[in-house]
Amino acid sequence: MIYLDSAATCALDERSKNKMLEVWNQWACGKFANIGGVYKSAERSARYLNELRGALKDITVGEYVVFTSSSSEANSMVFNHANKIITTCWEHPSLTKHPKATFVQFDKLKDELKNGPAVVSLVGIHHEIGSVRDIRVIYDLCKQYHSKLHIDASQMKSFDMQYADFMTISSHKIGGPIGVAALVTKEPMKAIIFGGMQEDGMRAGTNALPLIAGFVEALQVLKENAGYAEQFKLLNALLRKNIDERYFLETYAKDIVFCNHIVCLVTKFPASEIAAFMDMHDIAVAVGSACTSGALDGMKILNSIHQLPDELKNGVRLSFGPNTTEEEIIIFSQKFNQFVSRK
Amino acid sequence: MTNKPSVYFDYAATTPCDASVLKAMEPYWNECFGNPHSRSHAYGWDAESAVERARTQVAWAINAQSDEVIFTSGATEANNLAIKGFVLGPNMPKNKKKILTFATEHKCVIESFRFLKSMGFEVKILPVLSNGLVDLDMLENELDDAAFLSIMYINNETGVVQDIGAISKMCRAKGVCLHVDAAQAVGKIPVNARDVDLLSISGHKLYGPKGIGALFVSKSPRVRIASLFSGGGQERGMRSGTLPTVLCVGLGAAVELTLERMKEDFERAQHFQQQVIDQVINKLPEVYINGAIDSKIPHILNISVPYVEGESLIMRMHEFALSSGSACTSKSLEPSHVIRAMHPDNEDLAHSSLRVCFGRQTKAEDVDALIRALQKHIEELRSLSPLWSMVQKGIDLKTINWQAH
Amino acid sequence: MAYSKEVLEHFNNPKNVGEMDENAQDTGVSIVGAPACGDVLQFSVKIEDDRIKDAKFKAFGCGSAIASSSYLTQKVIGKTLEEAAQISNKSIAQALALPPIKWHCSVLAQEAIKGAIENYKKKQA
Repeated sequence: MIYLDSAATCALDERSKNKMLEVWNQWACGKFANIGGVYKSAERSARYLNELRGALKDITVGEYVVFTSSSSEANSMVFNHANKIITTCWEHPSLTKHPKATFVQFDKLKDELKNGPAVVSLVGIHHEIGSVRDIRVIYDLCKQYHSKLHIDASQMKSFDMQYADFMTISSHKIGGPIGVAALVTKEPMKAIIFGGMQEDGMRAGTNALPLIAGFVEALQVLKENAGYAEQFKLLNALLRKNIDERYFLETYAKDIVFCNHIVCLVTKFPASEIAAFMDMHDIAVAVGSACTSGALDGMKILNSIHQLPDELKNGVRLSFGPNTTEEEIIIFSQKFNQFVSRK
Repeated sequence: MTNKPSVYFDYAATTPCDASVLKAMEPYWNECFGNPHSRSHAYGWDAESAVERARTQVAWAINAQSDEVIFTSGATEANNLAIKGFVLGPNMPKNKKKILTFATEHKCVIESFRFLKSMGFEVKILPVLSNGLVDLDMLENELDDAAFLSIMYINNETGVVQDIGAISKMCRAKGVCLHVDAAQAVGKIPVNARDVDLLSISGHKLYGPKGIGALFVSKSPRVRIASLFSGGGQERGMRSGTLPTVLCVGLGAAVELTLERMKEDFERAQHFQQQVIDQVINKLPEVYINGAIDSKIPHILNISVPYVEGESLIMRMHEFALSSGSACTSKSLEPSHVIRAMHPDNEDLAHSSLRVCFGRQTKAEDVDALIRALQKHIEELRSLSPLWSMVQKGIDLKTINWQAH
Repeated sequence: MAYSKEVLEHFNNPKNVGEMDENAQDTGVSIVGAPACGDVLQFSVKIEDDRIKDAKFKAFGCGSAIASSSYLTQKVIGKTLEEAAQISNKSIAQALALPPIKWHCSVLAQEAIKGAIENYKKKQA
C-alpha cells in the first residue's frame, strides 16, 4: 500500500515504539513504578518524567509543559483557561466547537482584537489544505493588542514558542503514539481534569509514562531529521514535475503560502470516484469536495474565498510522512493522471 | 541503596502491563481508527473492528452493551467526565441542586465536586463508618432531595467493598443518578453495570496499559452527559479526541484476561492476606486492619501500627514497594484523607498506616520476606517510640497535653 | 524520599536510644510534637558539673525526625548547657543534608534539646 495520509495519522516511528516497549518491560520487572510512590522505582519514574518534560521544554523553548491525552484535550485546556477566544472558521473542529469562541474572517482579526484582549487560537499549518500561517506576524499583532496566541501545531514539523503563548503538539501526527499530546505554555494553566497533583496540578491522572516516553522519542527523531524538510521539498517538487499545475489547489490561491508536506489536488470528478479509484490501487489519501461536508471542509472554505472553477471543486489531499518515497510519488502521479485523463 | 528493583507490593497504585496484553496490542501500533493505512496484520481486523471488539470486551465484563462504553484516557478523566458531565449536562434535574459523595472518595472525585460547589450546586460530602462502609440508613435519608451520587465500589487505600446492590436500589427508588468508580473493582469482583447509571474503569489497575480507561454510560435507563473536551465529537459526542486504537485493544485484552484470572487472583491474594493477618496482625500487639474485614477484598490490606510513623516503617522496609497514609509520604504533606475519614477523632492512625497489595506477580517467598521484615521493623521502631513506651507504662495518650508545632 | 547517607546511618542505626528518669535531679526531659502531626520527640539529658554527660532519645516520626534526634544526642554529649542551647536547627539540617521539606524535623529537634535543658533548670530552682 502507498500511504499518503500522514496528516491524519503518521506511522509510528520504530524508535518511538521501541522506547515505549522498553518502558513497559522495565515496569514489568519493577524498574519503573507509579510516580506517586515513595520507593526507589517510583522515584526513578519521577526522575525520568522530569527528564522527558525537560527534553520537550528544550525542543520548544517553552516554560510549562502539560502532558494530556490528546490534542483535543490540550486545545480544550486553552479554551477553558482563556476568558475570550478569537478563532476563524478555518480551524480544526476541536477549536471551533467551543461556546466561548468568537469567529472572524482572518482578515478581520485586527478589528476583533481592538474589542479587548483575548486568546487568538489558530492552526499553524492547515490540516486539510496545507496553508501556512505567518505566526510571527500574528504574534506581533496579538502583542500589540495585549492578547495571546495559541497555535495548534499538530501539522507542523518544528515547534518554537518564540512566537506563541500556548502551543498544542500532537504525538501521533509526528510519529509518536496515539493517546498522548502536549500543551506547551508560558504560564501555568487552569485544569479541566481534577484530582491528584500530577502535572503540577494542571492535569490530574496517572502519567502514562510509556506513552510520554514514546512521544518525546518521536519528537527527537523529528528534530534529528530537521523535520524532514529537505525530503518533503524534494517530494513536493517531484509531484509538480509529474502532475500538471492546473490540478494543484495552490494554483488558484496564489496569495496563500502552502507547506510542502500537505498537497491538495483538485479535479472535476466526484470525491467518491476518486476514493474508489485510489482504493482500488491501494493508495491511501484523503478526499473531499468544496460542495459537501466531509473529510475536506477546508476545500469548502477555500472555495468560499477563492472561487474555484466549477470543474475543479473536488479534491484529493496527499500528505507526506517520513517513510514516503520518491517511487511512491511517481506511482501516485501516474495513477492520478490516469484517473483525470480517462473521461 | 542498591539498584535492585523494589519487591512490589503497591498494586493498588498501578499494575504492570501483562505480557499477553502487550502481545495482543502488537499488531495495532500503527492502526488508526478511521484510517486504513495499515492493512496487513496477523488478525485481519482493521482499526475500527479492533476498537469495537475491545469495546465489546469491556462491555461484556460489566454486563453492559457495547454502545454504552466510551473510551477515556483513564479513570481520572472518566470520573471527571461522569460527575461534571452529568451535573452540568442535560439530564440533571432542574429542580434539584443537591449532589452527594463520600469523604473516602478518590481526590479526582472530591475535586470535581468542589468545582461543582463553586458553580452553585449544593455539595454534601458524607462521612463513613469507622470500618469504611457507608451508613446505609444515613444515606437513604440524604438521597431524598438529591440528584446525583458518586461512590467508589472498592476503596483504593483500604480495599473496602461498598454494598452497591443496596445503594443502587435506594438510588433507583428515589430517582438519583448513581456513578460508581469501579477502578479497583473490575477484575477483582463481579461488576454489574445494570445496577448503576455511570461507571468508571482504569486500564492500568487491571494489568492493562496506562493512558486508557472507560466510562459506562447507561442507555437503558438513558443517561446523557455533557462532554469535557470540545472537538471532533468522537464517542457519540461525549468524548472528543482520536481514539488510541492500540490502547483500546490493550484495555479490552486486559479486561478479558483479568476476568479469566479473577478467581485465581482472588484466592492467591486471600491466602497471602491471611498469612499477614496470622503472622503480623494477630501476632504482634496492637496492629490493626483499617477497613471492614468482612467486606473487603484481600488484594488490598491497610494496616495501622499505632505508635510507629508510616514513613519510617516504609523507609526501614525500603526493599519493598509499599505506601502509607502518613503525611510525610504525601506530596501535600496531608495524611490520608481516607483513614482520617474513617477515624476522625484519631488522626494518628493515618500517620501510622501502611498499605500492602498482593498482585499477580506476588510470590510466596516475597510475602514471607515481607512478613519477616514487618515483624522485625515494627518491633524495632516501637522500641524507638516514646508513645509506645508511654503506653506500656499504662499512660493514656489522650490525656497528654501535646504541644503541637 | 532520597535521603542522605548521614540520615540513613542515623535512621538505620540510631544512637543513644532510650529514656531517663524524669524525676531524677540530674536529668532534663522533654517531649515535643504531637501524634496528630506525625512527629513526637522525647529527649533526655543527664547533667554532671554543668555538662551534658549523657543524652537519650525516643522518636515517633519519619526518617528525618529519627535521624535528627539521634544526631542531636551525639552532638550534645560533652557540651555545656549554654553550648547545647546554641545548637541551631539549621546546623542540624545542614549536617544531615535534609531536604527543605524536612527542615521542620530539625526545628523539632532543637525544641526538644531546649525543652530538656529548661526542664533540668526548673528542677534546680
